[in-house]
Amino acid sequence: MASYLLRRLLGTLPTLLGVSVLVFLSLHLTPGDPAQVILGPKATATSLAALRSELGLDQPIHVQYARWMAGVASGDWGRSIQLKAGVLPLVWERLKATLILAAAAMLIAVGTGVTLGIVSAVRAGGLTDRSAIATSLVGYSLPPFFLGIVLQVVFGLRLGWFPVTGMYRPGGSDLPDLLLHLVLPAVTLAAGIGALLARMTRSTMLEVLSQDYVRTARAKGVRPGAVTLRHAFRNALIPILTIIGLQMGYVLGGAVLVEQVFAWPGIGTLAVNAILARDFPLVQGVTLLVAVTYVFTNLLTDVAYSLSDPRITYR
Amino acid sequence: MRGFTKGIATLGLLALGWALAQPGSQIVIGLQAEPTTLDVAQLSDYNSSRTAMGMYEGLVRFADGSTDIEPGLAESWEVSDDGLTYTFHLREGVTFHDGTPVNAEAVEFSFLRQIDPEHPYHDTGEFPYAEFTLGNIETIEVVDDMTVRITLGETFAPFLANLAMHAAAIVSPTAVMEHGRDFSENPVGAGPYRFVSWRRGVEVVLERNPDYWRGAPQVERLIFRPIIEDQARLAALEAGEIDLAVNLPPDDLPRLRDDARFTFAEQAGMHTWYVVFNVTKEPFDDARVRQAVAHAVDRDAIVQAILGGTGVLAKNFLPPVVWGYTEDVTEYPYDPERARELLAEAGYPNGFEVEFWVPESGSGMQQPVAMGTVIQDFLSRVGIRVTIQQFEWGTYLDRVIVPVENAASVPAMFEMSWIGDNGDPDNFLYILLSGDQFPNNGFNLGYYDDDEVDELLRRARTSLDEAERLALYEEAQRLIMADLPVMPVDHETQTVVMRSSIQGFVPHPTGVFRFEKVEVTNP
Repeated sequence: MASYLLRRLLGTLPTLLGVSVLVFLSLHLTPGDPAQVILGPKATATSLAALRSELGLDQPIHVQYARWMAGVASGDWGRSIQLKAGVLPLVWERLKATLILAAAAMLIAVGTGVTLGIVSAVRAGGLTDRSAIATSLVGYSLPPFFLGIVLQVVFGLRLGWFPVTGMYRPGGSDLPDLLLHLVLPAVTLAAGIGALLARMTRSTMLEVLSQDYVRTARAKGVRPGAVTLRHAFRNALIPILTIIGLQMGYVLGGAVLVEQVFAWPGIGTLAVNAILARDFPLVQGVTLLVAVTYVFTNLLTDVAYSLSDPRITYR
Repeated sequence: MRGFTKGIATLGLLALGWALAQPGSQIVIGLQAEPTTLDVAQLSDYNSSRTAMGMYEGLVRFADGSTDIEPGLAESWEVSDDGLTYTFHLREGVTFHDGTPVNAEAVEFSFLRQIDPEHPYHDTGEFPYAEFTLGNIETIEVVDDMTVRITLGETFAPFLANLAMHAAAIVSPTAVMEHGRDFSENPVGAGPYRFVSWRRGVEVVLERNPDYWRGAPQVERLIFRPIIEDQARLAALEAGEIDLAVNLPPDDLPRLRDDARFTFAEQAGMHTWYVVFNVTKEPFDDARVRQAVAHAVDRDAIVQAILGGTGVLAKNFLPPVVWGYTEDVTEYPYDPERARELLAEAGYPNGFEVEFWVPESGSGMQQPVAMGTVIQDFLSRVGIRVTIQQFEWGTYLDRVIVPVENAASVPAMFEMSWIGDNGDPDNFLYILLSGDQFPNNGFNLGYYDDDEVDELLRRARTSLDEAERLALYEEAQRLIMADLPVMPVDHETQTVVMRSSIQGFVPHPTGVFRFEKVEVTNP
């Protein structure tokens, strides 16, 4: 396992290197001069030239890339042009907020989605099943920004149960406050994934439940709950884990939208502003760190496979 | 019994602690975006300057609600007869938030840091406004601890107004030396509020400066929160998560006006939204064609329908809040018939085809795409066939701010807006329309070049006689609006919505927020 992990970790390096080259090139080929954007329309030619040379933008592109990579390797990710601060702390601070939101959404989605799916499968065809299918269809069809606004209006403005924007109340930073602020955005983000998981779990479970060994277990008198969870669900887990793994990417992307609606201080707004401002070091930093996150969640999914199914081993 | 007493004492302490922990009066402000810097010399957008300006003060400042100049850290000053030398006498006993004194050396440091490339702290930031604000300074001389003398390279009438701008605010040299580039996030000035904390993306917290020389403000804390989506900012205001906001969705304003929980404060801004004609290109080298466009577009209707009353129709290029503004200029009422006549006179009885560039968004650009589309429609009715090209703002600036040698690459018509800096007409008319101000010297993007206008504007910026300047600017405005090198459309109104408990908030024409006279009732 350890050697497998090591190999997988080494294997991510070419992927990340490729991402870095792509991001770097696409940024530097986009029209729009960072110096002009920073200094605004009121800049003079001399100050523009001075800033370009200060930012190293007057260097050939491969030199700029080499400098950046050397910096990244040594932990110096450069300085944001627009926000006038180190890239790594800026990105990390915001990525944390996004990861908190994404993790909470995943927990809610997996919790409700899988439960709903199992219950539906066990009661296939019944009223519970049909209402669960209907609910998940609605959850899956609602665009997150719309659902977000609806939740804001109903549970924030009308009922006053939850705050509608931000991560903490002004000036605050305690955990209960964070959890309270997390509810609406996390539910919004979870809805689509939860619905998908419910449907996937249901169909996988139905398939497994019709297998011979399940009938055998029942015939042997194993309690129905144990049949469902220990015998059937365990075997349905692999496809469900795959979906969860794939959805991690969606969660990171979806978080960007949900962050806007709830003014959640995550990576999304940072990235969009950085792109609009041609803040090259910051865009590069954001993309690279998000790519790292994505690669690692994929790795974690693979590890989860082997933990859930003893037949899968990695060498 | 002892346990009981102890219990009571503990409860008492807890209650005391709770009372002490209760926030005093505070105002939470919803910004449109995260501030980019809190270093006053590096400010270049509203969100940063609205957050930061309460921490600083300059030698002089704009009076409340206007762009008149009043003393700030300088108690008094003298100007030499030739208008070249300004001697400022600083107020005694004023200190920065870090306790160091505001003295002549701090003034010298604050200015030279920006304009002298040899200054040891010049590398502590990029200073987008340095040249514009302080570029005319030839020398700065520390006469004594409390006196500083500034000599200009040439007479420049709006100089005092420039010293009231943000880039001329005085910073604590000790703090800049200590933090270097990170002064940007550790700001120290001598203003009514001082810095407490900045959590990126979350909030900036300021607290009142008890030693502020004008007297400590009433409101204890200011918290600035970035909420980018207009709809989310509105929700936050209605849910009580913020107390004050700008740029709410225009459609929701009527509803909020009827809501007793909120009050409004409005201020016509130092802003003009306009269409630039590239006068080096046919057919806009002919004034009649430019006038025809202005007659063809019902600008009044556009302002009402698209901007929803968040702006006022621009009768003149100069905004009314800038001194020297006159309405005694040629007007261009909606008159498609007159437009067709003018086109025919200019030799285009069947109109012509033209490319019109619009940005997707941008600083001061209200609804640029919707506005562009309606203008296109109005022009099609008089035979001018407009093709719209849309650009993202960064790309847009790159393509329209072009030296005159490449004027051919700039389209015949494009949208632009300007937000005034110092309340002086020079800051609109000279920079935007003088033949001396083609990019990248200035911002005359349509390359308008009229000898008579140039002469008037040049004389006006060097004259020290107010009455003479006024007369020169009035004449210049008449000539400009008759010739119409640009089509002004509207002046944006700042609309601030806040909780009714906030008393005494008055928006400033420069767009910054001032809280030192604001009170909160029943916090």
